[in-house]
Amino acid sequence: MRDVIATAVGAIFEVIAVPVLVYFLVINSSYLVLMACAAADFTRHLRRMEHSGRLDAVSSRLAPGVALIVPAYNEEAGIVPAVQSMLSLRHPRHEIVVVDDGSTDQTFARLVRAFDLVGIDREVPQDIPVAAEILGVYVPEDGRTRLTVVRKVNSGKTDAVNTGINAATEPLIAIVDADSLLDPDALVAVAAPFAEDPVHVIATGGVVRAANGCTVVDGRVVAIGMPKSGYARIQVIEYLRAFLLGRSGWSRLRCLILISGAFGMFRRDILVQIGGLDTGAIGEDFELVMRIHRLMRDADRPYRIEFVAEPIAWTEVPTSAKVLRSQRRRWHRGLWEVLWKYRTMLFRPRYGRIGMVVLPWFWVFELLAPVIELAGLILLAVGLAVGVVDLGYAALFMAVAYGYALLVNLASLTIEELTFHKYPRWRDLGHAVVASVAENFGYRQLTALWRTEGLWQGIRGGKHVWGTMTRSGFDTGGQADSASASAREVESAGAPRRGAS
Amino acid sequence: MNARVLLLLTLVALSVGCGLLVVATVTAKIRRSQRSRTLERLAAPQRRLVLEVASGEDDEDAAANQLAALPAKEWASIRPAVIAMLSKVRGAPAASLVRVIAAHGEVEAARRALLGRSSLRRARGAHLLGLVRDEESVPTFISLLSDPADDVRFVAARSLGHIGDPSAASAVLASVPGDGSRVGVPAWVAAEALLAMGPDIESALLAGLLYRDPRVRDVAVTVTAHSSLPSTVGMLRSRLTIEPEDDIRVAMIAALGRLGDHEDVARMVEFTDPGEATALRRASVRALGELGDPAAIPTLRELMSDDDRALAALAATSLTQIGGPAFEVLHAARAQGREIGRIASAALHLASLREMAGV
Repeated sequence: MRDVIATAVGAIFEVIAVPVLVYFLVINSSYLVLMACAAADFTRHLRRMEHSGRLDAVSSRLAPGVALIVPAYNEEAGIVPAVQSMLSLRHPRHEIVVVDDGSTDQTFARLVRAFDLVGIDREVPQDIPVAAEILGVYVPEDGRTRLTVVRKVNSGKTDAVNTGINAATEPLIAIVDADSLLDPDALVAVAAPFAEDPVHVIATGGVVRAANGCTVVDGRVVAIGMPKSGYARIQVIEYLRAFLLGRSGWSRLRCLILISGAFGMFRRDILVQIGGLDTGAIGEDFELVMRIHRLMRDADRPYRIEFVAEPIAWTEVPTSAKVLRSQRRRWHRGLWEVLWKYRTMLFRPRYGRIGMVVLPWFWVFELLAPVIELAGLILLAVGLAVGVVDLGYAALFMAVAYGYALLVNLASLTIEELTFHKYPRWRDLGHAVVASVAENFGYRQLTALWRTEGLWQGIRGGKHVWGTMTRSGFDTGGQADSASASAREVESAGAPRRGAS
Repeated sequence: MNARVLLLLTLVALSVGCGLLVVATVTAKIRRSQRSRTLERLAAPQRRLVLEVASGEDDEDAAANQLAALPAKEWASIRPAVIAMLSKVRGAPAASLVRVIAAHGEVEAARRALLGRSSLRRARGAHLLGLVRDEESVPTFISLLSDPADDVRFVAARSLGHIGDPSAASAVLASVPGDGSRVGVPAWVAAEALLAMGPDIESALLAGLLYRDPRVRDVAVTVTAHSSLPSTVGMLRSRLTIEPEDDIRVAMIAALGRLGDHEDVARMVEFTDPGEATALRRASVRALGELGDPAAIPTLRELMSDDDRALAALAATSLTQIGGPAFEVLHAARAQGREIGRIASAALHLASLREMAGV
């Protein structure tokens, strides 16, 4: 029996050894290409800063107005500082629309107390059809503060966002998670492409970074540092590599297909035209952007979707394996569902680079990557066990595969240091280098397993179970911790869905 | 070469690459911290001088003279602060800062940069010359409105606004559509520049309202809405019914709501007809509120029962803006209950909140 297994494994190795190595080399090389594009974009952006006229945009009475939509479910711990922080963002014309999605805690009561809310019998238009009953609309008693709170029966994040879009009065919509921390210039930065090319720009995405380890005061990141948790440190590198540099690279190539749900901006008329967010999608942010691409390409309308690389939004990342597993399974299941839904766009010249380059890349190097990695690792282990793989050769093989991944991580650190250099301390840099190495020893393999689980769940199509996102809170520089909350993302299989960060 | 050797060579190359990246990162960090320390050390003594000039307390021009006489290294350290301050001050302090900048040859260098090959240098030059309001550069700025680089065109338009020379108005308007693959100057940048040029742009605006490209007409309408020039209002009225683009008609209606009078009520009422586009109807209802003319009350009262609930809510809000007899209409509607009562109630509530807050 052992001989049979050994022969079979040996034969498989003969066939796949080189393709798997080539796969690793190509995936990492493609990351390097994206990083080179991103680095070129960053350089151009930073050189333009001196004459970009950002201050003019801030003070212009003619710049398009923005409505920030904040869906909130059981956000009592952080909702008040979050709204205060959003109200004080620099922008000549912005309003905040908080949609309390049937919270069972003190979210609404705290908003009422903090902003002296009074109910008005206002009807929210149904520009986008929404399912849940609206319980009331509230505004601050001062008649000046541009805040609207809509209370509704719980129906999930996407329905809450659609309700907020209906209640918004400004032409641009920024969708923001209630626990996202925004920099003062966040709106100006993300709205800038709309002001520069109002005809073609229909959506922009802001970069989201890990807030763990940062000092947060009154809903603002005031000092940046690396987190203490090993998981979080590795995610800082992941966010840098995939979210900042990966998406900037795709944006530079005019191929951006994903804007994070934690902070994105869209033209309201486009959102209304496509019927808002898909309430049935797990990766609703990804699905939304794909739907916009398809709509615009089908209608032969010229358009641009841009990514703004300047650091502007921060979010707390999971620090435990349990929460991280839940998040990665959900992300990968969402990825599968959206790619499957839009499979008809694959290799269709009508959809340009989206159909011919990006979607194939996402299928091969995002969706299938964890499966291939995991299969390779299992096969290697079996091969070693039955003695058909030489230990030295296997070690060399793994060193090359993961060495290239390390090179990509270090390249992302170098680009960060040469451009935005957000982490000021030497020890932060040290931690980042260690995390770049550590990612390859356990973390990478675990996330591959979790992502494969998510893919399997997606293929089986079972009911999605939302986990509990436990927040550990931020360093508040001595102030009361306003953001330390738990159970921000609580759902059970039978209850309506909550959105992902 | 067998596979093992190939892997080994790849691993060596990767190791070298990783090492180089770490070295590059560390070097960048060291150089940056050294540079910022040096700049800080050089700039610290000069900051007081900049603040003295900017606050208008430099009566004898002593601080300005000291800044003008700074050696190149020290000037480089304080230059960003001086440029940043220039965009925040007006009058004599601004003139003193411009003199300091000119003394360091920056104005001449910027003028040369406008003609250079680097688009970055052209944009930076145009930015600086706009801040110092260099009127000599207006003809060059006008030619830069058709520069191949997007940045340069945007900055040139903005700088023309800073200088405020109305002779450039037509050129700024014409730069809005762009050409072919080139993106035009953003509408709001062009509009801000035109507004900064004052009332002498009237003839350019009139021509803009008749321009073939809708983007130019849109900017002209926006500027008209914010500048209240009598002849442009007349032109808005005459163009409103023949303007083919709905978006521009919406902007025209909004402009007439701000600037119009009793004679415009009938026009606005026509656009509230259910057969008109939703955006036009909503804009007209808003404009009727802005006009504040009681003649609109019957129409707005009817519209509170419209199927478009957002329009109905706007009609109620517009009634609160008209005030006086319109409040009686709203109170009567509230007493009726049902949907119309709800809408009237919300509008009255918001109006009372605004009144209490003095908004």
